[in-house]
Amino acid sequence: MENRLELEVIEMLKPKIKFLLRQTDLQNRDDLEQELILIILKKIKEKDYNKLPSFFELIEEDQNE
Amino acid sequence: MGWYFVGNRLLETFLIDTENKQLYNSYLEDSTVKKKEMLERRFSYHVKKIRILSYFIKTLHFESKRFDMKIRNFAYQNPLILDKTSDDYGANLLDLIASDNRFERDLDSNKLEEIIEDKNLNRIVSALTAKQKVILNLIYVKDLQEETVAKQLGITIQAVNKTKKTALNNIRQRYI
Repeated sequence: MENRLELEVIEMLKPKIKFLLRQTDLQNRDDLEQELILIILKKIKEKDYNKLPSFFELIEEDQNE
Repeated sequence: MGWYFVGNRLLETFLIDTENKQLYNSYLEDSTVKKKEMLERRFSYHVKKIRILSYFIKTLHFESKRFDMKIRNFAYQNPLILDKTSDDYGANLLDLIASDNRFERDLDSNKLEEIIEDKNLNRIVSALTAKQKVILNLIYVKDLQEETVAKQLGITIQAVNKTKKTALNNIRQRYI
C-alpha cells in the first residue's frame, strides 16, 4: 500500500520533474532527476500524517452546511 | 468557513474516482462497518497523496535550484583538467579530444584550407585547431545547421556554437 502511494506520487510529479531538469546542464540532468525522486521518497517516509481528516466527519460537516 | 471549503474540495476530488463513488453509494444503501473502514482507509490515502503533491508542487523548484547550485559550486572549487584553456586560441582541452563517433572519421579538416584562396586568411585558418576547422567546414562549406553538426559530431549544440564563435573571433582578431 505504501509503495503504491510513492509510485503514484512520482508518476504524477513526472512532468514537473522533467520541466525542472532544464535548470541544470545536460550532463547533470540524470543526476538531478534521481536526486529529486530521492527527496520525494524521503519526504513521503518522514512526513507526519497525524491530523488526517476523517471521511465521515467531513461528510457530516458538509451536510450540515 | 476555510475548513469547510478544504473538506469540500477533498471530498469532491475523492469522489471523482468512480471506485470510491461506488463504494460510498453502496455504503449509503447498506451501511456496514467493513465498508466504512474501507472508505476511511481509501480517504486517508487520498488525503496523503494530495498533501504530498501540493507540498512538492510548491517546493520541488527550490530543490532543483539547490542541486544546480551545488554542482556549480563543486565545479568552481574543483575545476577539471579538461576545462583548462589549452592554447592561446582559447579552446578548452575538452574541445580538442576526438570523439570516436564514426561520422567524424569521414570529415576532412583540411578542406577549409584548400578552399580559401586569400593567403592571409589561409594562414590563420590553418592555425586553428582541427575541431574548429571541422566545425567551420560543416557550417560554412557544407551549409549545415548547427544542430545537425552537433548530431554528427556527437557533441552539444552549445559546444558547436561556442567553438564556432571562438574560431571566428580568432580569425577576426588575426586578420589584418
